Amino acid sequence: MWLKVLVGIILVALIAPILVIVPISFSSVSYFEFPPPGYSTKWYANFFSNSEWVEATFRSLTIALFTAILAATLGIMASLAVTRLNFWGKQVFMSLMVAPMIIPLIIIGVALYHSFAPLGLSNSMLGLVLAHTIIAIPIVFVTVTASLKGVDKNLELAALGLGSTPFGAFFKVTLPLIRPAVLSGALFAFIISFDEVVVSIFLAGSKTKTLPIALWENLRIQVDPTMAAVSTILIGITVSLFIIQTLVSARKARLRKSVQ
Amino acid sequence: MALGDSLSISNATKYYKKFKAVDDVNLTVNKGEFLTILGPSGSGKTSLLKLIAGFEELSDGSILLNNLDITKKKPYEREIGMLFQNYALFPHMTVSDNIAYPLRLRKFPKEEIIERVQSILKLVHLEEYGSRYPEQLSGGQQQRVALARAIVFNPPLLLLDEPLGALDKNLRKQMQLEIMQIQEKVGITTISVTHDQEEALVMSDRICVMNNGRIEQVDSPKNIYKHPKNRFVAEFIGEINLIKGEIINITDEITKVKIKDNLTVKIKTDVAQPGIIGKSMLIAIRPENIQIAQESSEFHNTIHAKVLDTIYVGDSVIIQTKAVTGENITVKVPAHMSDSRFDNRDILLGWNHKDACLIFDETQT
Repeated sequence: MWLKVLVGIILVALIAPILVIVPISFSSVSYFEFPPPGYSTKWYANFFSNSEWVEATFRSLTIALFTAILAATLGIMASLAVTRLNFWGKQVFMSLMVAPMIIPLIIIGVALYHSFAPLGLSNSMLGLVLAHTIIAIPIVFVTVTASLKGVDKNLELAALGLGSTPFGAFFKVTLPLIRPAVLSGALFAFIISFDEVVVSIFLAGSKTKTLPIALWENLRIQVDPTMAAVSTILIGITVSLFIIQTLVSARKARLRKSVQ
Repeated sequence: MALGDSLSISNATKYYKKFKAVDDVNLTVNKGEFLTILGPSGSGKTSLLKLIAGFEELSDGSILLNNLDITKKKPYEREIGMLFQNYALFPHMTVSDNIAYPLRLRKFPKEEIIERVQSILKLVHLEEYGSRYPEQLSGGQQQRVALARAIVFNPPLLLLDEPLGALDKNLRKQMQLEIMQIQEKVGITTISVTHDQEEALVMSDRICVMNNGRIEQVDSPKNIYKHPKNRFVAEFIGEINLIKGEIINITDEITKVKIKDNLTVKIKTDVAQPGIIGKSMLIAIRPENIQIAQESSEFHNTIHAKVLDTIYVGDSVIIQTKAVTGENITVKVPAHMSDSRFDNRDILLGWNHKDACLIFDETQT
């Protein structure tokens, strides 16, 4: 019993500081106070009426979407290579694939700042997508590799034997079977990109400000509950993505069962 | 329904790195034939099957299907049906979708796909199961779906990889018969791979025994059992007694073999040629072909032996003996013809000259 209480306390300690942001965003006063003395939606109105905020939000969503697609595609290809082929230096390859997860972000930031500039990739959307993809690939690679290991190789052979090309076998047989892992990997990639600050600071300029960077820059100049509103929107998007993913996979499982 | 095509493999060799998994194999499978490749694990039988299916590439040699060279063809260009040991049904597709898969790849019209799926489901007695998922079926049902999927597109050749390996004993018997019936009905040329000699004997038109990547013998189940070509085949299929001997005389079809000083036996065989007189050979006799004699005149050959043990196995009794030649000889007699009074007694074992065969004793050459 006391163990459950302890776990409860830890969970509250973890979540509470984040949740406090939500009521503050609906505050009626222009400073951070909890609980707020009164409620209003003016900080949200402030957010949506400011074109800089709205543009940064759409930019972040766009970058996150392309990052998710690119990281998922490259991650799946790397996972296939690792699970289906034997090649020289496979262990090294696998370590390199997950290296971005271990290397400090600030180092990646400095390195990319240095190497992207001569290529004209700094201060560009493409540069940010590529940088975020580098950071997001390991999570896709790890989840998809784990999932692929559970897929019977004979299924692919069977598909080939029945007349399918290797591409057809992948899209009709393998991909549907690893889809949950691909979706969750892509979702994580999206979220990693969506709230990435460290590397983005090195690469983003005035024209490619992402939402977290806009938040960071504003925070240094002035603090008002608009920040809380932005944070709440960030939390809202992330949480709803997770809920959608959970619902979709639960529905799939139910459909399977109901046929019985 | 489709008619089978012939398959001919010549000089097939497959290396995995330095290891020769398949060693210069020559094999022809006739139209509509059921051929079983039988061998212990590591004999190269599965490698050979993968080479035929196209999942592995030959290091050397060629494979012809219906006289067309398919050696260089990809598996999806070969039109060969394959039944995997664990069935390899697509878990995310229903039974119908699994079976329709090869038809959709071949762009069959929708109506024909529905029609064909229905008729093949009927053939494997699963009409009611089209909308189920593989995980909702029993092992035997899954296997029938896999079989249906492997033959629905009318391939001229069907490959079975340890088809009954994953089933329990009772189901195995039933599926054995069912696969044989379907194979006969469809007329598809079939190559099965197994390590189960009983399965091979029951199901096949011909058996190809493999060992160490080589073919040891290809023949009908009856000939493989009655006239094994060498010691490996003799010992791998069924129980057999081997008695060492030396050929001393050949007249007509009867070969005289000396198995001990002052003791010769007669064997009816067409293997022996004059050139092998004096050669050391093995006489191979199945336990069920040896009987207990009262007098030496009852059989062409008799030999004295001491009973070591008798084991009751239901329909018969296994008697283990030590013959005067020093070899252990196992005898299998119907249960009613034996009782425990044999224990530790000297008995006379007898067999007729057509019930034994001669094989070369490779250890002596």
